[in-house]
Amino acid sequence: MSETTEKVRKTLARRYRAEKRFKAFGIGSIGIGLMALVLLFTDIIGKGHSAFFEYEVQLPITFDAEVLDVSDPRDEDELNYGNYQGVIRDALAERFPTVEGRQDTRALNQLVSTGAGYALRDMLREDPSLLGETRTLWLLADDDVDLFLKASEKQREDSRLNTKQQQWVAELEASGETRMVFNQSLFSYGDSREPEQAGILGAILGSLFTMIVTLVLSFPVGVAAAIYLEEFAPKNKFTDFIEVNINNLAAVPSIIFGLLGLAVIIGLFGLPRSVPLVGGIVLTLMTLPTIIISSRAAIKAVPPSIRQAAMGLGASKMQVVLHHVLPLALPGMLTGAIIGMAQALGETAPLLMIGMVAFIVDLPAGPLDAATVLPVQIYLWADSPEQSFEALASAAIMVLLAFLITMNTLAVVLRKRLERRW
Amino acid sequence: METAQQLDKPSLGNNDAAKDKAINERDAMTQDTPYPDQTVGQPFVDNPKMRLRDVEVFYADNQAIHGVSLDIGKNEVVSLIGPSGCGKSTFLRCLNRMNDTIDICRVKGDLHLEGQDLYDPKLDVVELRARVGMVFQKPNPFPKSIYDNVAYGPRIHGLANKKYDLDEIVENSLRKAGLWDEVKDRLHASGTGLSGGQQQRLCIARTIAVSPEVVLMDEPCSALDPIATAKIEELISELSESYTIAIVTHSMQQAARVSHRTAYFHLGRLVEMNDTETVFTKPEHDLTEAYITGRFG
Repeated sequence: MSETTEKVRKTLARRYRAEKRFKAFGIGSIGIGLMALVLLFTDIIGKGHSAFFEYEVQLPITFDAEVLDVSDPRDEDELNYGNYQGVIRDALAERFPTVEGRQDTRALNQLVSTGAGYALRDMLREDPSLLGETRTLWLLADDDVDLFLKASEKQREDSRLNTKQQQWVAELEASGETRMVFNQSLFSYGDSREPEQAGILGAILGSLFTMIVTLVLSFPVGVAAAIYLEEFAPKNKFTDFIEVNINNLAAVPSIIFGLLGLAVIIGLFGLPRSVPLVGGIVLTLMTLPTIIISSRAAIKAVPPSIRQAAMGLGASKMQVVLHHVLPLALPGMLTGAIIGMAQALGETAPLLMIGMVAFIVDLPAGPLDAATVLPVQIYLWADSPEQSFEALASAAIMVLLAFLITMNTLAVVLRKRLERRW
Repeated sequence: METAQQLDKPSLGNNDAAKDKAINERDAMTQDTPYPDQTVGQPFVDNPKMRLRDVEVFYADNQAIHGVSLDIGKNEVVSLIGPSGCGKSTFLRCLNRMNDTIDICRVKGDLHLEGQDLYDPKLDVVELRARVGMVFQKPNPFPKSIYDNVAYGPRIHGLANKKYDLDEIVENSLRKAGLWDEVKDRLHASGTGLSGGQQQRLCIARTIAVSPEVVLMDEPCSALDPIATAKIEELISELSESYTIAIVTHSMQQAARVSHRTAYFHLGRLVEMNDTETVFTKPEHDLTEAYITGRFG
């Protein structure tokens, strides 16, 4: 055995140990990451899943023209000012005839959501012949009733309902006059002070309009800037300076962009507050560096041999870029844009500065209507005192995560699909 | 750039005695053998296609080519040989101004293509490159179909107005490049799916599709196996009937097989240029002899 072999053998064990240590360390790191992910998802899903369902209470409702104070259901004005709470109160009083006294009556009336009245109005508008008729209807329960019904036996003791209310609800539950249905209002309404009527559609639309504005502004500008810097700009101190600044811009805290939007876009240019247009512009500023940097990387990855081949054939600079570089770099650019968009979708801080944190009930119809966005809605709900909002916030997080995961998957799929080999 | 790096490269590894010796020998040879004041042999011909005089190329402050003068005759195959970093590729790239794409590169001298000054500021480089085509070292087909690869040049220059004309150009070019029979059934398959040799012939077909007058080839066979190389060499001989060809090669056998005249470059200077046969059988200059007999390179 030669001297070298002997020496090598001595070190072998140590080398293998080092390798094993490193492997264990890597596996441990991945394990911690996965654990954090599992923890996050179980927590959010555990808290949020109940918000996708809500309880309804069955009551025989009489559309009494006198109580409602509606003589002609086709008259929109009369319809709007009808006393729908009145008929619900009557129905409750009929269901629980033993309840007496002002305080108890009031407590009884609190069992049904105030939103149920609007449901009755809509029914009457749809079908005017209902006036004077009696129908057994499922009405949306109040959020405290909802929480009580969703809670386990033990948790019910901590319910915000008083003892009598708890008895009434238990009675309704026992006789099958309550049911759990899919929470449609979550996906069809805007924000509300009443948790059972609050929805995320307003926030989703706000996010959608903001994203459209961001995409329309940042993608063309970012790609054009990247192509110019990469293919046309002379390499000198000035372009170096620009490059350094783009990289710096990517590291600026996002709230600074919000301040800029507040001062310049709202203050100087006088655009309205709280609108997706301004949010989109601010997020464009934030997304641009990401798109420019990833687009430049994509352009750099196009092999120079392709450029040379085209130039050798007599293609002009512009033709080389449009016919060869751009098609080959596009998958990378799109991936960068989608990741930038995903970042923008999850951004909260700059939008707080420009007033997209306002309490807005109406659904925005366009980028110039006041709106809020999903992450801000989550922030608002997490900040609300009612216990039911906690589940709503978690549900909104789930929806936001679903969007983000979809976008990132799209980026991966797009890259795999469009990727070409040479 | 290439030249500068080659020159600055320190000798590697002190224990490698044989290599050291070779390097020392080469250095001794380089120092002992004076450069000729003028290129030996016959670099000029009557009525040339390309007339190149006192060509100098600088990469920033490094001079890569020192006063090279030579002619390329009509329908002639000229091969440029020499050790790595001697500037032959750089010189070749001056002939269709591919060096323009390198920011720090400057070219001086008189370069004419049939009386047209190549570096005339009024000359559009697009027009020049349509007249002087180029085939590169590594096959570089576009990641498009075979048909689109060949049709690209004619399309951007507007050489064919009708689909029928374009089809004809594509077929003719592929036939001339000896690729037609192999690809006629899959013209719309990707060009990158071909073998290395086929890709290089596709690149040649693409170049001749715009009917250039001169075709420059920068080591077109260095990435190919011997069989593919033989095909390309055969092709070069056939093409010389209709085109003027300048080819850079590291293979002396290849230069001997395909070219009419051969130019030997050494450290940015044109040492010798003559008929290929003369260069390989009776080299006039010691450096040329040393290179072709394999004493360095």
